[in-house]
Amino acid sequence: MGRQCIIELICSNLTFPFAIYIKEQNMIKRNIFGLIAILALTSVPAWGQANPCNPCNPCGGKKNACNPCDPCNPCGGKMAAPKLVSVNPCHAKFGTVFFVADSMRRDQVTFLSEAPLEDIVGTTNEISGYFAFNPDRPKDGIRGFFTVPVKSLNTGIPLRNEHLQSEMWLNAASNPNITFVIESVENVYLTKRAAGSMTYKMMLVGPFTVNGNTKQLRVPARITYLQESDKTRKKKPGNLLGVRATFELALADFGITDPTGSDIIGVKVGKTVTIEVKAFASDMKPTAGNPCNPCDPCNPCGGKAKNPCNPCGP
Amino acid sequence: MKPLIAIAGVITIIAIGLWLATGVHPYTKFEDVVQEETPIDADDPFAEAGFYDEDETITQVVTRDVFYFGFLPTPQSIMDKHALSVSSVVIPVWLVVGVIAIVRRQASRQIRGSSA
Repeated sequence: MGRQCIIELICSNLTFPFAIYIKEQNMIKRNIFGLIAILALTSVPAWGQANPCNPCNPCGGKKNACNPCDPCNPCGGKMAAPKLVSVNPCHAKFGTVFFVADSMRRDQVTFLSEAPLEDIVGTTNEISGYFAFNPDRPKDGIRGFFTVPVKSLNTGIPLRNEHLQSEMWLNAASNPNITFVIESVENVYLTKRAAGSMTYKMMLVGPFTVNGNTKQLRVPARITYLQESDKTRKKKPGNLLGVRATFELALADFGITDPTGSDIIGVKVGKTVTIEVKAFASDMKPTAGNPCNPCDPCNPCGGKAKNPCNPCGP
Repeated sequence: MKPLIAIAGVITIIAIGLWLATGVHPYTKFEDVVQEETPIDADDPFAEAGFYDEDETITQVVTRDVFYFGFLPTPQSIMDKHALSVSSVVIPVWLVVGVIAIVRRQASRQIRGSSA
């Protein structure tokens, strides 16, 4: 009865091996719940992992020991704000430059794929870039540049994110960013004008790059300009620009095709995906007004309580 | 063998029950990225300026912490919580039962053979 057996199993997708070591065969009979306990212990998941992609719960529910009191910087600076992109001097000539780089991550790019088997929603808040134009005379021209890191796209399933970033799809290693350069503007018309605000609808035209493939796109957008006021300061400092755009991308146009031998596009992933962009830019560079720590507007004094620059006091 | 089969049965019932109770999702998920309608904030200066149409339905994509015990696992590594699913729990359990049954049968044959 002292026979020992080792059972090693590989689960259905061959990625979940676990072993059960049973010393005594009688153990099973004596302890009905023993096997359940062993199974539970051998499949202990990595609970409580931090979730840097979730702005509502960036620390995975754990109070961060580094900086537990700062809601703007709950992960002790580990969740970096989108990087400021440098402005093309040729673009800057077109008027005021409005920067998109929200450390609070309120800007959002989403993609929606609708296919017979599955609808996929993905999102990122890591959008950075700029708009250069004269709000009073947008027909004179608009220039701009936007970039989104492929690695920041989140579909809610880590394995799917990994596939999305892989060579077969967006190839994040070789082409880390999705970019859009605004080179011209068409069909500009004013939809609403009020004191200190203007809203335009227009077609933004320029090269859109995904997966290392570039295609000229015409993106319908709505742009609202707001002069700085007490109300706007609650959102962001400076004169503000809100940008909304919705457009469709055909995956084949950007060299995204089915992995060899599979039939995923059209069945599990739509042949076209709908992209929605909502961003709020400001003509005040995010660095302005934060002499202590120009990189982080949420933590202007770098967490140093006794810093004389600390606007919140000691 | 009966206790083993009973345990496997209980685990199967629990797994399928959990799958049904958490919404019969194909994959195990711990966060959900969903598009949902959001009301326009009346105090939003952009809303007043015509950033949204008056009759427009505004949607926003939100990431929520959830738990869906799916039918299929989506693990990135061995010790990944996304490895939990109906198939990755139930199939190994029944494989264990099957292997133990085979080993026992062979052992009892050997005992019978040696005693004969």
